[in-house]
Amino acid sequence: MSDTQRVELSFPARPDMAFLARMTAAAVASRADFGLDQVEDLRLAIDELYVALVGEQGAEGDVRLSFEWTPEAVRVTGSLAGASAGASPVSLSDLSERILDALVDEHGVDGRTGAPGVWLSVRRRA
Amino acid sequence: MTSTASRAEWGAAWRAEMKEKFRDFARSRDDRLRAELVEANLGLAEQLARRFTRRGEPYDDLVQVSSLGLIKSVDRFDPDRGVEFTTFATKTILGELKRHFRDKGWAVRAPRRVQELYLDLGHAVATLTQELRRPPTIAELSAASGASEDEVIEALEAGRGYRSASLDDAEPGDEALASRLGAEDRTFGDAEWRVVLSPHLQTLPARDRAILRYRFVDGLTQTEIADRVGISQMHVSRRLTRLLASLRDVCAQTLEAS
Repeated sequence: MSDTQRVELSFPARPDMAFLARMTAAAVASRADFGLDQVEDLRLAIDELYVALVGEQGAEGDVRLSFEWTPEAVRVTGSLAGASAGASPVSLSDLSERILDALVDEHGVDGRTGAPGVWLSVRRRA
Repeated sequence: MTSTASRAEWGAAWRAEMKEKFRDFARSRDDRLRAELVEANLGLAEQLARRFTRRGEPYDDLVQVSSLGLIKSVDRFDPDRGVEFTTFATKTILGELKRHFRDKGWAVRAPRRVQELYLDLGHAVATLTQELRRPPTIAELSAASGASEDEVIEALEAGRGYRSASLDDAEPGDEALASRLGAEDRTFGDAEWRVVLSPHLQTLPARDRAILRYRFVDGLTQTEIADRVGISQMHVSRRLTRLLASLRDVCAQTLEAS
């Protein structure tokens, strides 16, 4: 059996639902034995990822989040499903890029899954 | 009498100079001029923020909200409309402060047991960090507090929106600290940050500027920042959450204005 475990969530792309993403991230980071500093950094990073997907006002469709973790690392992938063809593309602002640079080990924007998405990954600090 | 007359003359000269600067800014949209105009009118934002301090909100947070209103006012003011900037800005800043209280009123209130657990966690984090010489995990906090891991996570999430004055008021030694940090203050070295955030950074209290710089420029952890600034790690986390939200607002407004 692989060491990697995964949880997936899907819910309406509304700003007030961001708490679901943060709480799940904290729970997953806890399973990976992250210290509180890293748990709190991950929650801040999730806010940036969530704003990139949903914006400050919300978006059409559903947010889909995938949380994968091993004993050493957590990876979160978020995408927007069900948005109309004319919806704005998912992107990270310069500010979000800069904030994520400081909070996580790697991050990026990815459209390979068919739906536009953002991902980030964090390794557990010793 | 002479002194009253000279004060009036000085006031008129200052208003004329401001008007000219606003005309320049309306033409050039120059970032440095924008920062200068924001800084020159910061006293107004602070004065209006003080009017709302009896509502239980920390003064620093109110200054941040009113500073956003001030930046918005500078961006939107039309010097040729025959209205004084202070009149225009007062209306905009008060609107921003009222919206802040209205939005806050919609926040979900945490149950008492969750609030109490959040406060207990603050003590547990401090004690465990000292004992373990590293930040505790959620499991360790759960064991120390007697709450389940889920309850700890729920309390951390609730704490994010917790705005009790007693938690966020200036802590002992804060004034001395703010003045020390102010003396040590240096600008953010990175050009990108300066251009995007400079006007807003100037409106932040010295402690908040230091927290942002330590985390995002110097790369210190939240625990290290807590040690250096002399507040709790959970306080650092709350400040960062609010500061990042306000920076996002500023960037959104800058994009909207351009």
